[in-house]
Parts: sequence; C-alpha cells; structure tokens
Amino acid sequence: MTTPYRAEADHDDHAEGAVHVHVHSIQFYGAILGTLIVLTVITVATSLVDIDGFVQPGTPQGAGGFNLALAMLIATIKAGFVVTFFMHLKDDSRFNALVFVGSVLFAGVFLAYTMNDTSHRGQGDPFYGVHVLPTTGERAPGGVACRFEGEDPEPGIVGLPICGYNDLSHIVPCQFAEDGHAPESGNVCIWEHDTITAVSLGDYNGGRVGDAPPAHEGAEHEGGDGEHGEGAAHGE
Amino acid sequence: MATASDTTATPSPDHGADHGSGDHGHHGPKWLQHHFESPIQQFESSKLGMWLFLAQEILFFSGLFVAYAIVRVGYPEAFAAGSHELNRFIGGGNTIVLLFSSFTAANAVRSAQLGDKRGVSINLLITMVCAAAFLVIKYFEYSLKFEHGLLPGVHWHPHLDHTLPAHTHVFFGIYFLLTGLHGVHVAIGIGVIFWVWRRNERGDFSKDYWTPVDLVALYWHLVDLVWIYLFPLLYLI
Repeated sequence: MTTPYRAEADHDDHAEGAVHVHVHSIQFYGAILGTLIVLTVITVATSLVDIDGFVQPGTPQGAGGFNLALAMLIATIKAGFVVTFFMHLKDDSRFNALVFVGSVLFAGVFLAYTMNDTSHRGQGDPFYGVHVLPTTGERAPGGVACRFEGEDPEPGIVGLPICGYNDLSHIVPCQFAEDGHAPESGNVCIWEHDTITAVSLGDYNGGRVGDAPPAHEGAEHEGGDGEHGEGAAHGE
Repeated sequence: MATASDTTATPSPDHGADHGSGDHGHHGPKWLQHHFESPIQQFESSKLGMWLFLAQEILFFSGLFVAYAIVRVGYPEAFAAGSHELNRFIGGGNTIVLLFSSFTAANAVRSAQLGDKRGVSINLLITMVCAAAFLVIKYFEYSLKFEHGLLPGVHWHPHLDHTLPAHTHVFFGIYFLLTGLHGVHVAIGIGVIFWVWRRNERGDFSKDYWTPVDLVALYWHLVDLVWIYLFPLLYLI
C-alpha cells in the first residue's frame, strides 16, 4: 500500500477517535501533476493525427470513432490519477469509493440505454411513427396517412395510398413509380414533386439520421412525415 | 452549493461552540459537533456527505454528456466541423491551468494535514488565481465565438449555414451548455475556496481539524475531472 513518496504523519498527541491520515509529499503530488500534463500533451498530439481517415478513408477527421476512443482512453487514465491520488480515494473509505464508482456506473447505464434506444429507433418495429386511434383502429390525426399492404381495410383507411419507407426508414405514403407499376421488390416511394431514391423494405437503415444521403438532408424532416408527404420541405 | 457543503458536509466550529458546551455534557474540541461521537466519526460523515454530493454532480453532468452522445451519433460531420472551429491549444492551455490548480488544491490539503496554516492560505490563493485565469481565458474564447456568429439562435451567422455542415449549430449549443455549466462550477468554486481561505485566515483549522479544506479540494478536483472529459470531447475530435 505504501509508495516511496508517502510519509507517515506523526500521530503522537492524537487521542482515541482522532483522524489519522497519510500525508503525501509535495514531490508525490508534483509527479502526478507532471503525469497529467504529459498525458494532456499526448492527447492533443494524437488529435492532430487523423486516425479515423486512416482506418476508414473518406471519414472527415474527428467524425469517426477511433480518435474519440483514444481521446476517451487517455481522459479516463487522467481522471483515474486525479481520483486516486489528488482526491485520495485510494486511502479513503471503501464506501466512499463505492459511492463514486456507483455514480459513474449509473451514468454509464444512462448513456448505454439511451444510445441503445436512439440508435435503433424504427428497427424491429415497422409501426414506429404510425399513430393509430386505439378504439377504432383508424389512423390518428397527424399520423401517417397510408395503409399497409395486406392490412384489413378498416373504415378510416380505405382509399389511402400504400405505406412505404423512405430512406430514413420512416413510414410514408407511397406513390407508385411513374409508369404506374408497383415495384417488384420492396416499397419504392416517390414523394410528390420530388423524386427521392427510397430504399426497399429490406435495406432501410433503422432511422439513423446521420446516414441520410446528402441530396435531401432527410434529417431535417425527422418526425415531420405529415399527411401525404407534404410535410417534407424539399429545399436545402 | 456553498450552503450545501456548509450544512451537510462541513461542521462549522461556530455551531460546534454553541452546541458543544457543557450544557450537553459534551467534552471535546470546540469544532466537534455534539451529535458526533468522535472526531473520526465527524470526519468520515463529512467525507461521505461530500462524496454523495460529488456523485450527484456526476449524474447532473451526465445528462448533457448523454445529449452530446446522441447528437454526435446523429451528426458526426457537424461535430467534427464544429470542434475544428475551436482552438485546441487554448483549450489545452486551460486544461493545464486547471490541472495545476488541482495540484495546489491537493497541496492545500497536505498543508492542512500538517497544520501549516500559511501553506493552506498560499495554496488556496494560487488555486483561486488559476480558477480566475481559467475563466478569463474562457471569456476571451467565448467572445471570439460570439464575434464569429457561432452562438446558436438569433446570433447565429446565416453565412455559416453555407460554410459549415448542417446542424453544426447543435454542436455549439451543446458546447455552450457544457462549458457554461462547467464555468458556473468554476465560479462557485472560487467562492467556496475563498470562504475556506477566510476561515483558515481566521484560525478555524488546525492539525486536528481541517475537514473543510479537504472537502473544498474534493469539489475542486471534481470540477477538474469534468473538464478532463470536456476538453477532448469538444476540442479534440
């Protein structure tokens, strides 16, 4: 447990129940500070190297995960030094360590569950984004005005266009291709006034807005799939 | 926050003097509050209270960190472009200022443990100066961003919508919220460190009782800790 830097405080005149602590030397704290500064310089230096572009050519620098992962690793090492030595968690009661580590763990749970949710919206749930009135089964106002192929023709939806998926995997009313024929595979959708290259049902990417093709800035319209697709503003 | 650490974590010797008198049949130093059995129990209770407060702080900040993660996954190009608008050397310099202030805060606790009143004062003063320097640097950084029209909202420069990827304003929204909340913590830190410095000058602390110095240093290290993550997330990616 002892480090070469640590000196025992003299407890000669302490009574029963008094506070006993280890007193570290200034050199010890200086060494920690030096380590932290060196790690700061290293993390700045590594940020100048385009690891993302090297691993996945074409990725804008900083947009991938590798530079980020390395920076987070270095930050966590630095945080470990601060908590362990500057904050004396190494010498502190185990219960205080549990409180601290527990809060970090729960912050991790918060992050993991939220990312798992937001990164997979629409996957495994084709009805995501469709509003249905629970009593009648009709499409609710503000929902998607379309019906699914093979769906029982409920009173409110007869005559509505077939539902398809746009490239954000949001459910949108389909219009068939201009030759009037239904496409052979999947639901190719064409919005009025603006042809978008929609994807077939099997290819949709789970609503990850970042992956939208740049041509129509689809992320702008997230959640805005209004009736008949008119909610989609097509301007840049 | 000053009041939180005052009432929950830090036994004030003034109150100790009020309650610790012979009325309660209590024997012990004046800074030992009457509801504590011994100095060690009071010390451990104060520390636990402070660690619980710090745990709350981590969860408090985690909301913005999660917001950062969600938006970054959505718009990685915007985040890359936004972070390239920030100067990593100013950010790095500020990191070193904060790390150094953590070093002096740790040294203030060390001086307190040794009963070195002058050492406590000097180290706390240096810590406050570093904290102020951090805020001054941040002020100039913010001013520059405002000038460039990078503050989201009505001040956002319309031209940026053509030069930067879409949604870069969201990155700057997160940037100003995270650094702003952190900056508030730095400012509050200056306040509580000043308060502990004054109590030290007043002679409240001794080799046997220096809990407030320890606790204020813990708070300050946490402010440093948050910045250790903010710096790479905002400036370096």
